[in-house]
Amino acid sequence: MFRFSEHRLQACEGETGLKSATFYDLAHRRRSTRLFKDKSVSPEIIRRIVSAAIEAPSSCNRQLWHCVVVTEPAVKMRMNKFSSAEQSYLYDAPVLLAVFYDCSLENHNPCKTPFITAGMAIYAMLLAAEEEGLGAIYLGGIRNPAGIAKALNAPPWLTNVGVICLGHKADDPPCPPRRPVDEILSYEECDSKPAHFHADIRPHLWTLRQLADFRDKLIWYKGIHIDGLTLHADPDARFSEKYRYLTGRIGMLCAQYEKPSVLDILSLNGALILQMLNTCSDDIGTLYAYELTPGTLEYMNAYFKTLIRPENLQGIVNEDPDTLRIPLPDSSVDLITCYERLEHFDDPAPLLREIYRVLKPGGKVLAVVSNRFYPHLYRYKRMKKRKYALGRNWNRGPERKYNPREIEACFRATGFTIDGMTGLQPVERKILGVIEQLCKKFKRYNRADALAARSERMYTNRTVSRYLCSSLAYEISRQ
Amino acid sequence: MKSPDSNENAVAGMENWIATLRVRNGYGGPSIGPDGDSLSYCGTAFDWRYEGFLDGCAALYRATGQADYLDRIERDLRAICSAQLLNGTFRNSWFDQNPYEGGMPYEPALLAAACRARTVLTESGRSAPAEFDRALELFVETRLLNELWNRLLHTFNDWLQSRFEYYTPHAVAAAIELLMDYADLTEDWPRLKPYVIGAADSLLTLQCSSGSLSGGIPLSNQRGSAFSPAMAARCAPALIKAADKTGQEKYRQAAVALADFVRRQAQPGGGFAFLVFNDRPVRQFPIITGAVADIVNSFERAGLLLPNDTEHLETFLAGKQMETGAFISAVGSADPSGRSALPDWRDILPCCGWQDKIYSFLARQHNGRQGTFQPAEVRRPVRVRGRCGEYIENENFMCILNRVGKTLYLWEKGSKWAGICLL
Repeated sequence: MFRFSEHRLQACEGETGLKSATFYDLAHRRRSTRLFKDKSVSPEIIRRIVSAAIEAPSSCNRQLWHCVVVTEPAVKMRMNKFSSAEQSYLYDAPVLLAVFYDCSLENHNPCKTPFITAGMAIYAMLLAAEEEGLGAIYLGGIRNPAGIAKALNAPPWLTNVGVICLGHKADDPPCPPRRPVDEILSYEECDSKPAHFHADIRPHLWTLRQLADFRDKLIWYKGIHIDGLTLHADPDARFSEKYRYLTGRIGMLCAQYEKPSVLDILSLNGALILQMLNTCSDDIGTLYAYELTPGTLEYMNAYFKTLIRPENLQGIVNEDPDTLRIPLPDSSVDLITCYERLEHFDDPAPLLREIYRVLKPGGKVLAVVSNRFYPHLYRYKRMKKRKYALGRNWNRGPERKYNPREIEACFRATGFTIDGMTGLQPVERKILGVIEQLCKKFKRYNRADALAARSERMYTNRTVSRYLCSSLAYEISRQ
Repeated sequence: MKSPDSNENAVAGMENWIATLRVRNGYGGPSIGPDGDSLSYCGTAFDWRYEGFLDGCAALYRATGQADYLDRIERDLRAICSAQLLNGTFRNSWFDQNPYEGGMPYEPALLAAACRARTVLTESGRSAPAEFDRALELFVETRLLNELWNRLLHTFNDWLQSRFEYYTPHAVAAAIELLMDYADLTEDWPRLKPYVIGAADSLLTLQCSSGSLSGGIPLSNQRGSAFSPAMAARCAPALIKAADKTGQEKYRQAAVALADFVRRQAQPGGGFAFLVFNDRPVRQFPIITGAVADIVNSFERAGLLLPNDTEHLETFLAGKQMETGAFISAVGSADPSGRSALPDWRDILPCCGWQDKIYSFLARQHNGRQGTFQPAEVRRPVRVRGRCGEYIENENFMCILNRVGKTLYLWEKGSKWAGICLL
């Protein structure tokens, strides 16, 4: 039987030390595959891949791994039901390898060695899959791993440490930018570089470098194929009412200029940019996407490539890693969009000053900010339970919220004139939703339907109570 | 419509209105649907509006023999191709959720209608635009079969990746119709047959077999999902086609039972109930005019049309055509109990994605004689946010005013975006 060790020896034959070009190529080639062909994988290949796992080092040489191969749709559905995984790969991949480890002997190990051991085996299997010409992705973000164990009738001493989805690749994902070796390598002691990420999950407390680094890495985690209702990751924001409102307003504002130059501030995955390109690319002169790192722009390009060929899109990157500076001349842009990005800065003034600088006199800014006075219940709930895992909750939780008066004062202090403000997602909607549920409970269906119809139409609010909306869409201009 | 002449005049009126909805490379205007409104974006959209426009043109070509209609079909097919994105989806194809690509059931419905129109072109001796076949192939192979096919459930999803155990029967039905048209064009039925059978079976598994909802197919496969007669009726042509193509009579029986279910939902005042539930009373309103026409169109395409169906629709449409030529959009949008005396603005404001269904129906009744229609401005008192307002439409704009005359909504026809949108 083929053994990974034999293969490794063959690869190293004739080499000095451990310099195996094959290995480094393999490590470099490996990507997380998210789209699989509808083609089965032979049991021999699966055996070979699992044989790579048994070569991995294990804590005290216990080798207490266990892998369960799942190919049956019914079992996959059961796994999903119990684990709330809600990840398409779970269904799409012809083979699932549920990886377990017996942690019962090492429950209190300070280095969490059972999990490290399992991780090493998993990486070995991912490399082996790549070597076999297959695609694979490790699902570590399963909401309830115990559900996987339950679905597969695992004995109580086995802990599920994730699932590997395996199959023939149906796409060729781009390589995310990797950190340079020098950044992660030091000799004799840890160097005194500042932390990549801040221990605090509130991004507005981070340095600009930390924010840039986080955005640069995070953006790749869901791949470039995004759909309207992806549950396992942040849903495609374009499908939300907020984006529909924003797209509409941007389009209406663009129509006020002749081929305007438009700048979008820190779009992250480019959702708003894509909307603009889809709906008004003919009407826009140049569309600038301002980002903090080239990697984020690379992601955007990879994402857009599946849909359009953006011709008038120009990515621009912040030049100085410690200072916000939009690399555009003064008074060069007609319209600027800034969707919930002021929230990422403790002091929004530097960004607002830059926006003011590059905006032409008579130009407009559509700035959406989160309202501090809106009862973001999920936020408090998660905070209380300490359930924040920054990444998944990006954009909807820990970042700064603004007191409307405070941000309005900032706009004015920068020199902007506030032309108007619209509240998005008013609190009444939430209240109506609760009453609607009560009406349904008491079988007052007509009333419930009327309330539902009313709340549907209530997404925007221009009355005094707009100060009780989730987000505030400001239209500000430079005179 | 009751008299032989009035139908031709009604068609002339609709054509007049449709002409005012032309925007660059397509048909625009605000969209109002059961899932929401697209009021700001009024530019070209590529959704199921082409069903009625293309079918209507085909029917009018057959009735009048005028080559103009073939030119329009050609123009529309080219426009559809130009709107395709690299992954096979179409720009602005979510109808009431626009602007957004990847609309279901809108994209397969659009292409299925385009395939029918293509057949009319080729039968008339013209060749279909070459780019259309490429666009069709890209959509079917890349989007439909590669991305939306659910390998577990053997049916079509609405989205690329998520909610994998969720599907909507009317979207699946549109995909089935398209696949069968595609199979005819490519002569690749053996490869496509498993997809069609799997998807058609997924409709049958949802069909109610007993009780008051017998024959009905719900809006989705989720437990407790409501039944929409209009959306259910859209499954009938797919089932009949599947029966014809596969020779399996169970699909035909299901379609007949489905048609019976839909007919049982006819309302005394005309039209069909909006939603029917398993565990609560019927929701009668709003009755969307275009959806009623769509039911009759679906029956006609399925070959299940009864004389009563046409009569029912004609009676329902009588008196609903406005001075611009468009029909009012719905009845009872403001108040689900239907008690409100003043129509909601949504009841009046006509949109392409529903008016096309009426156009298609009227076009089929056309006797070939030229109708006449003198358009005029529409002014209707409406309810806006629970208060009185006014809806105004003429050949230049659509506008909604509140009770003190402030403009809450303004779309200047031909432009891509609404000028004012405060609704």
